[in-house]
Amino acid sequence: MAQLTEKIALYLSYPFVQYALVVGVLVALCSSLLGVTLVLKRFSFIGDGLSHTAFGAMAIAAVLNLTNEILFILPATILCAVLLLRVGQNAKIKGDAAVAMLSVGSLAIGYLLMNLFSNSANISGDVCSTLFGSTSILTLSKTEVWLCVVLSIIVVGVFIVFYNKLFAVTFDENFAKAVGTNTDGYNLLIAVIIAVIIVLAMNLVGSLLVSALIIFPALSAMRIFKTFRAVTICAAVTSVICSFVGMMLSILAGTPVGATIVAVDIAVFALYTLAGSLTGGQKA
Amino acid sequence: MKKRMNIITCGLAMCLFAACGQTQSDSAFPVAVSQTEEAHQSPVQSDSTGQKDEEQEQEVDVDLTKLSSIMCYSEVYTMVTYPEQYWGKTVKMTGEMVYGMSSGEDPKYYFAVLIADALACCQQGIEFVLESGSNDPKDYPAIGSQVTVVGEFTSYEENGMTYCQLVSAKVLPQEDTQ
Amino acid sequence: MAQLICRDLSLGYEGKALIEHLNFSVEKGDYLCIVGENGAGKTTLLKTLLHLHAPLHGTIEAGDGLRKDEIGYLPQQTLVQRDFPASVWEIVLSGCQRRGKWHLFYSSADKQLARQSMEKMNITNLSKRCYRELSGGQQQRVLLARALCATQKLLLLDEPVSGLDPKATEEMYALIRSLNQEGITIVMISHDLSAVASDASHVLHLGKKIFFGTKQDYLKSENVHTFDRKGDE
Repeated sequence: MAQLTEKIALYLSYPFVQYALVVGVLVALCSSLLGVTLVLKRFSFIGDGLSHTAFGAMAIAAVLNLTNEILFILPATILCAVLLLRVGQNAKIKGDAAVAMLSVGSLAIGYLLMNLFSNSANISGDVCSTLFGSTSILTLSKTEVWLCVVLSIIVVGVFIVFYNKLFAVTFDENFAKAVGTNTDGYNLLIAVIIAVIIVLAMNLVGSLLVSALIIFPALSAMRIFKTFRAVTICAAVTSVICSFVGMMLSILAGTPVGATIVAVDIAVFALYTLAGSLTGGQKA
Repeated sequence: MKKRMNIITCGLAMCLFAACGQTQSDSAFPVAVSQTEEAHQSPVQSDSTGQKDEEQEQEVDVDLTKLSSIMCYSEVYTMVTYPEQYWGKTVKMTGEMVYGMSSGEDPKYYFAVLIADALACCQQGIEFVLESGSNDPKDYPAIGSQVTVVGEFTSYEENGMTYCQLVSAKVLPQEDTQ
Repeated sequence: MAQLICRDLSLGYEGKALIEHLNFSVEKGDYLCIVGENGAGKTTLLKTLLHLHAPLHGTIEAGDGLRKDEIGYLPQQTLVQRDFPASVWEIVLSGCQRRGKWHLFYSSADKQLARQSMEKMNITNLSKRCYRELSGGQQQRVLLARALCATQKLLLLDEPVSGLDPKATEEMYALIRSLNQEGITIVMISHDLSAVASDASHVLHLGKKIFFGTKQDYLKSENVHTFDRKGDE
């Protein structure tokens, strides 16, 4: 036990571990807050689609040899988020098909571009670390950490300020629109925030696992709590704890960060489901 | 992605094929050469005693063998990305022994320890040169074997790229725990 | 002046008109029932009145002190709402969202209004309950309370009794009747002719032949018979 705490203390003394924990906790917080809205609006698939789009954007940034790739990935992902939401609202076009098309398409094109044009020596390594996060959370530069802190504060701030409106738009969009709430504007806001979160979270868990970070805490919290506020708070707390525990486990045991965090999320989901059914929290 | 490409180029390319177009020159290893003047004995294997081992462990500034695989990988990444922060530090690391060879008339070998990340899809190598300055594969452990190496960290530029290496390195016998 | 006036309204999707040349008006205190077969455009009309859809042709005017966003709306339940984790209080309070863009937090006046609406609907005791665990009738009353937070003038109800058992249906009609008697204008979509017969003051029948007029006239018209027959099939 003493050995373990010694080891933890040693690891925590590394700056890159401190950065990773700060960024990991912030990303987990942001993604879980919006996750509740996303899950309830039946938009979970958009998170998944966007993460693949972000992968495609990353590949393009790599091929163009941009020095600051996030400046390209972020706008590109936001653009796709807006497009996807627009399509999702249009009853004539099948929203899920459009999302599937866009996400698989950008995955394929991204991989193809990296294969054809990347001057890197280890393409499979590049692809793998982008998809599964690998250790990128532990190799953040100071600039990236600050960018993440600032964006996270903005996301949390926006969420708190627009909390009531987000609830209204999530629960009943038609009603909100009928009483004069600018629902299109709020949907746009949600899309933009989701895009920001996904780009941030890609460093943590990789683009394939991003949507796990968004939906699992929300789904877990919904097993137990019955009000929107409680679900939101519970999801945020759960997500932060899961990410922290997951990251500690992964650096102690040497397992991949993203996969470990998601595994912890899954375990907590199972636990909450059990607790929920025991207390009768969830109607069958 | 840029960042990741750095890993790869600084890491893999360095140890595996950075040698392209490299001509055998002392200037590429200024530190290594100067150090080898005095010591001509081969430090490999058996002649490093247990005592010597302990001595060295005390001197080690960056002990990668104590870190979990993911921490190790990340620390090596940091070393490769910001080599100037690690100049002159004694580094101890464990990994797979790999060789690289430059093409050309006068082939030069590169010896490195390969460290894989947790997913085993990204690998980084850190090149090392024995205290003897030897460039003869006979003096180095066999390819693919697990080795623990202690040496002084330095970096050098070649064809506009920065490469990292450990100089005046010693290969330690494998500990049971590894 | 009437609260709502529709002039030469054409409704539909993508240029295909479901309803054409619709003219009617709703006076303050009216109880208008909109009836018609499925697909006749009842819900489309309702959404147009709520400005969720633009009409293909024609105009909707609001008058008699009614702003166009001062309409309370009781929608049909959506899939999303059926398992939504929200308390009754959170939902009723969300009726207080106002047009003003920066009305981000609810004031104490809003909360007071929400409490009053809940009292009127007899759901004060359910305040902390989870919406998805309520019975169908209770859920409808929650949504009605929310609509009351949005307006005290005109309510649009989209099949408020669908899926309710006879007792809950009767209670729902009684609530709507009492709101109407308080002076709130009611516009309700209904399948149920008995409700039309007992409570409504006016009827709008959508279909091949559009009828708009008082209930007395409607019951004498031929539309009522076509509606009856459709109902029996």
